[in-house]
Amino acid sequence: MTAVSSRCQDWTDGLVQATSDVAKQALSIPTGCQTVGECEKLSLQTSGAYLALISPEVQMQIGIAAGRQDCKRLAGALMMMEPDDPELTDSVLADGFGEIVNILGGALKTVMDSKHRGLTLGLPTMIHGHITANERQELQVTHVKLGEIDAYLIVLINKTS
Amino acid sequence: MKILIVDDSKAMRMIVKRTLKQAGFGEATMSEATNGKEGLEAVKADKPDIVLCDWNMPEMTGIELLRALRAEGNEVKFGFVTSEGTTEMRQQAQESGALFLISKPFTAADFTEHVGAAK
Repeated sequence: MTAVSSRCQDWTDGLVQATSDVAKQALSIPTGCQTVGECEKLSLQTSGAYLALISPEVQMQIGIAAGRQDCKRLAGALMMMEPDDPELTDSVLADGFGEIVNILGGALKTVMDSKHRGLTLGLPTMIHGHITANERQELQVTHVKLGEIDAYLIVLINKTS
Repeated sequence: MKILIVDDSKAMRMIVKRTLKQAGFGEATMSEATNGKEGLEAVKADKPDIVLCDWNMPEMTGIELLRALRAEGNEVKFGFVTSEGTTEMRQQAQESGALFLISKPFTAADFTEHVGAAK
């Protein structure tokens, strides 16, 4: 596994903390976010919601990915779905899962506020499969547990930013 | 009570409605708009008691909507429900006439406190 820079690790640590806060407050997962370990890359079977965070010093993407059923469970938890609610359509799933990464972005901004001011959030995008870093980027994928759900947190950051 | 929810995310509009019900506003009449421009029309047409509005939206942002309303002399009660809650945003919101800014993730208690106070 390629070692990541301390800068990339800082953002990952912040993202794990932000995810734990969001899991407890918005997803009704009292145990928050538990780190399982680092991954080389995501499985092609995963879907993820990604969000750009940009400032004069930082250009990066954060993401949260999971298997399709787990994406539905997480989006359903955020949307307070009840057992008799109809199954989420693809567009509502993308909207709901995108909202999770949007909230994560806001929470990460708060967590990192003392070190990084003036971060602007982009618009969430849902992508199926994995993303690949180019030579100017660092990618860190962290396997986490959100309650019983396996999920992956992604930080893709420009080395030169 | 008539509540207008302005957010470009269908999922978030659903979450706000369900959280309002949990917060004791189940009897309220809730209507929706998907951006500031639609929100401006909806305020004029529906005359809500309060507007709960996202910040970042296409067509017209939440702060642009609030400023447009105040520029027209419309003093409808207005609060933001948004992903970010920076000091600068809170200051802009307050200076433009918003009653509150609730940042996500929020709880039913946040709505009880802020929307309840605006009744």
